[in-house]
Amino acid sequence: MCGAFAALAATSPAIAAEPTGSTGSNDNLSIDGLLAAFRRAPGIEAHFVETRQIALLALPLESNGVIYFAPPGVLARHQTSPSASFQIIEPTRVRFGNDSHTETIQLGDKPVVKAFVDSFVTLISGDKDTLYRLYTVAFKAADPAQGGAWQLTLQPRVAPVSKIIARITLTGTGLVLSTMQLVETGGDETMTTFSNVNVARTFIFDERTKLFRLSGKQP
Amino acid sequence: LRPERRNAAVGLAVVGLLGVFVATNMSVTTDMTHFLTSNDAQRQGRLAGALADSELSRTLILSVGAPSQQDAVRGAVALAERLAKHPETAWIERGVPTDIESAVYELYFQRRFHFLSEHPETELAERFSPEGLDRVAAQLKEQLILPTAPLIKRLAPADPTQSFMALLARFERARPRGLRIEEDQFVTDDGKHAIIFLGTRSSPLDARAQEPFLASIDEAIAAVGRELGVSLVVERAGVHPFSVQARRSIESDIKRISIVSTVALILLFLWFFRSFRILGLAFAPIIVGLLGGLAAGLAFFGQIHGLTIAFAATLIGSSIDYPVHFFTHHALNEPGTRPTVSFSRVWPGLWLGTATSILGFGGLAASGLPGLQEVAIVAGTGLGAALACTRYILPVLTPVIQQTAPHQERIATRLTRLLQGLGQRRKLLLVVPLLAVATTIVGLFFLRWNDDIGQLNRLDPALVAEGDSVRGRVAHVEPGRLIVAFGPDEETALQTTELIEGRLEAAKSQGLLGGFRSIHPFLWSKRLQRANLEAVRTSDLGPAMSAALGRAGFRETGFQPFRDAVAAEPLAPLVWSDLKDSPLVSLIRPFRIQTSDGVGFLTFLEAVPDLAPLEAMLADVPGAMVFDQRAFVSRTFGTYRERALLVVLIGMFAVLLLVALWYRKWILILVAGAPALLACGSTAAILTFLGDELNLVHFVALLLVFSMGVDYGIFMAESRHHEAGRAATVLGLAFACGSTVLSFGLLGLSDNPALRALGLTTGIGILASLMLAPSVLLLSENRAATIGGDDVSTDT
Repeated sequence: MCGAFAALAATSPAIAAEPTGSTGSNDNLSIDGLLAAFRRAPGIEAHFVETRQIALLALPLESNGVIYFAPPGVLARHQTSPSASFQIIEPTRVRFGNDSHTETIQLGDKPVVKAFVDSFVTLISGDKDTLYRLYTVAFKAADPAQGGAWQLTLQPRVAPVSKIIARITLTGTGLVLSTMQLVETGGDETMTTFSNVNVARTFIFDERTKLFRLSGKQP
Repeated sequence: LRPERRNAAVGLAVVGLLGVFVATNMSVTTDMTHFLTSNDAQRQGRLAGALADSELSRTLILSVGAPSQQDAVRGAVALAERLAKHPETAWIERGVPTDIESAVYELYFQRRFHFLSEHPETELAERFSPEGLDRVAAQLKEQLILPTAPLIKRLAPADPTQSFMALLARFERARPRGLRIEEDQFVTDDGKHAIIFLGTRSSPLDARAQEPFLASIDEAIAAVGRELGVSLVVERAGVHPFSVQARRSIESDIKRISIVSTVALILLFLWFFRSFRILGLAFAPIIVGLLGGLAAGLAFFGQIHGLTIAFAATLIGSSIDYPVHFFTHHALNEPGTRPTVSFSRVWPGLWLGTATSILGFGGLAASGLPGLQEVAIVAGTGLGAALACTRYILPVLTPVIQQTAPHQERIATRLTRLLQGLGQRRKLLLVVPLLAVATTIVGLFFLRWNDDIGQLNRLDPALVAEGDSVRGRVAHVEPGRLIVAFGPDEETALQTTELIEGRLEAAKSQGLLGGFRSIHPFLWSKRLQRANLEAVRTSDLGPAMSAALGRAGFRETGFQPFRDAVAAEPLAPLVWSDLKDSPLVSLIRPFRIQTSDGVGFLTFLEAVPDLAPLEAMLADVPGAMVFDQRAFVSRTFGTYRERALLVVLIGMFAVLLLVALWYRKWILILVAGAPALLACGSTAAILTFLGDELNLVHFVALLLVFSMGVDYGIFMAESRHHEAGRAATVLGLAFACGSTVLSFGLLGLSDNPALRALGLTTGIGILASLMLAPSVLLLSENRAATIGGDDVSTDT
């Protein structure tokens, strides 16, 4: 399945514009190149399957749906199963709910929640400065001959994130995310697997309204 | 010692004692309830007083604008640091306190069962049923995929019902709209402004304290701008800038006008009397009158209201007539006449004039209104003291006139001729009173009262716009319109708040208001908290919740902390003092006021087109009061003005009755009373024609005009016995009129509406009295001569 993501990514104009030459091929892929490519992406869409191992639950909690990312920092997570719901993560707030009700959390005075939701957005928005400020970054690229797979491990450097998250491990091939594993300090673990990744996604007006529940402004 | 010298010495000693008494006992109150009528109005008055001195009104909002949000935040942080060190700063907030999360946890987590439901009797039985708990468990499971999941997972073992999270959500809904937090700093939703809230130690109405403080803020803004190299635009909202602006405006007006007035008065006295001693003595009765009035007020009431001092001092100001009348007569007397002899000529007029004024004010004392009683006692006693000073001290200290000065002689001669000339032109003389009658009648049809106290102060439009702009960014509540839950104690007031909350929710759903904010999300009555605990105690919540969690796929063993908590002895209910002494104080501070008879919790309203439906909805809630500050003040002043008008009319009648009893001749009654009545009527009419709506200040000034007008009439009536002294009387009136116009009338040039009202009314009224008093006397003499004569015209 990862190969399919890579193929999709290879068609991305953003990636084609990558000066490091890391477009379709994965020659010399670096963390800088990866982040630069994310910064240039007009938008991202990906299907996800999420499995949460939670100590309180007898069985893992599974969910799936689609995520949408509109630069510079709006992420929409639309869950389709086991129930329909949405989460819209913006720089200053998170809105979540379903068709019948919506709740909003302002992030300014909730550093724990903000740190938790920011971790993924920071990466896919290519915000290198914030990423290095908040995390110890370990990037490991496999031999290009092996298909350009890479692994990025983020270890929180500062509280309160460091008190909640032990590490985040992302894997990908080329410029396409494949998985994200989040391990909490308490032992709970969330594994997200991405598919059908489109890193050249653009959003027209109606989509912005529908997917990001925004007014006419560019997200 | 001659008796008069002994009397003067005793008088001076008494003045000294009065001075010492006043200086050592002076106590001024500004409690507005003193001037209110009904119990309900008094309660609202106490509320208005408590609001004026509350944390809410002491709060100054500073909005820091800069080219970028980052600069605005930096500017606000630096500015707050500087201002926090200022001794006038009681507290300063520029974001949510860093320790608020732990404080919320400590205060509320162990009391999460206290705050389960606003209607525990009806809601909790259903919520604690197997079906209800299944829903709770399902909701918890859904929460585990939200961004808040890390927090929820930590709390869930002890709180699977998510009661604590529900409390946090309630707090979230209660936070003011329009603000968010960036880098621990409040910023507006549009990110253009950083916001600082600052509480002052002194009352915002204490302009003397606030003026230097506002200047310090300006200096701090400039210093921070230089330090950061950023151009900061700081706007302010609060009562403080308005009180400073009002003081500046009034002080500047009074300074400007009083310099002109004082110089003109001194020149007038020096020009006419050519004596510094006379100049000094002329003001002695007013000073003694003020001391006597204040001493009486303090002796009767223990303290005096600020408004009483202002009103009574204005009325006592009419005693400037006493020395003026005496000195002009003395100056025009035969050379070598002793002052005591000159004084004996004017004494009957002074005596009667003062008696009528005191009687007029006595009507106020009989009104039953505490504030008016105070004004009557202070002003009445003050006039008595001023008269006593004129009677016992002035004649002894006044020099014997060796020879009338040529200019005084000239003026007297011309006045005598003028009066004789006018006396022969009856038709011309008629013009003045007829014109006054016509003006009064026409004016009465158009006369309008305006009891809006806001009209007495001219607000700087730029300051109003600045305040509105800042408030529009941070608060959306209706200024001055709120609902108060009153109770003799905190518990009763909180129970009332809970009833109000329910009614307002219903009103909101009916579209009667946009929203509201109260203490309710943070604090419930002990009764409601205990009802929740009782519902938990009598339920089987621990095991039932475990079973429901098991059915939802949770490991039941993970929730032992919850079962322990349910079985544990609960903490005492949360009370105000718990919150007041915690970092949460910043969230709850604006909602509580303390009055002399209890506690009030405030509910602030948003977007209320009409308060009447809310009043109807809350009519049966004991202790609930819909309060509209502006309407209340207008209503209060309106009621007050109506009551005062009634007692003043009665007082006027009593004055005329006294004059009638004294003179027992209707023509003399007319001479003494008509000028004052017509002066008041025509003044009110002229003010109306000038476009003024009359208010309480006009009313007090008209009372002064009436008091002085009656004096003028009596002085003229008394002059009938001394044809030679008539010129002196008219000269005295002209001089007194000039003094009054110079001292009060010039205030008509002020920009401040209250000062302008006082000045215009007094100026027009006294000029009218001056024209009317001699005219009416001369007309009455002609009339008396025509009908066969009486002592009005025979004593020539």
